[in-house]
Amino acid sequence: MQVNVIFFGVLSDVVGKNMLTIQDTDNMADLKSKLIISYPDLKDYTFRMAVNQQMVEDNHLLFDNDLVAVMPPFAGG
Amino acid sequence: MNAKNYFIQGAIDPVFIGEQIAKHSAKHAIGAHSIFLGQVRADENVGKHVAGIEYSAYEDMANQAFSKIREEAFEQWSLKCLHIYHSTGLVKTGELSLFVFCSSVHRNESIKAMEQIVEGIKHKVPIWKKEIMEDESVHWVQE
Repeated sequence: MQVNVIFFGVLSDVVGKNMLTIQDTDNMADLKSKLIISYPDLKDYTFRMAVNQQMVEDNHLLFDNDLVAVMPPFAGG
Repeated sequence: MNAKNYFIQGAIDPVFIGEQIAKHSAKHAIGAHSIFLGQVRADENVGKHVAGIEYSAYEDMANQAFSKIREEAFEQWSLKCLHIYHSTGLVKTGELSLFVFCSSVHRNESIKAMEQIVEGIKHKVPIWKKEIMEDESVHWVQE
C-alpha cells in the first residue's frame, strides 16, 4: 500500500518538493520516521499532520491512498 | 463538505470592504458591527524590511476550518451576520490580508465574538506566511 504526502509552508522548502509517495507504511509514527530518514532536516522543525484533512496523532492508522498533510504551525492573519 | 471559499487572491481592496458595509444597510435587525482588518507590517529582520507577505494555505482544509469557526461563533454568540475573507498569494506592506465582519443586535455580542473569531483564525486555520524582503530574499514566518 502507499500514501501520498503533501508538504506546506517552510516544510515544502525543507524537503524540496510539495508532494511525494511513501510505500509500505500503515501508521503515522512509522510514516514520520520514514520521512525523517529521507529528509533528516525535518527533525529541526515543529510540524503537525492531517490525514484526509483531519488532524491526527502518531497512533493513527493509515490506509491505501490516504492523503497525509505535513504542516508547520499555522500562521494566518 | 462545505464548499464555501473564504480566500481572496491578493490584497483585500478597501473599496470591497466599504461595499460590504453598505450592503448591510438593508438588514434592519442589526444594531452593531465589528470589523477586524489585518494589515501587512514592514517588520525588520536582519536589517531588512518586509516588502510583502506571500500567503499560502491548505485551502480545502482551511475552508472547512473557517466554516467551523463561523458555526461555533453562531452557536456561542447571538450574531446576525459573520463574514470572513483571507488573502492568498502576495500582499504588499500596508495592504490588507484579513477582513472579518460580524454583526449583532447590540454591541456586546459582536465585540466579544470578534476577539474569539480572530484568535480562532490565527490558531485553527492552515495558512502560512512567507515574508518577501526589500531585496527579494524570503523568510518563512514561524509563529
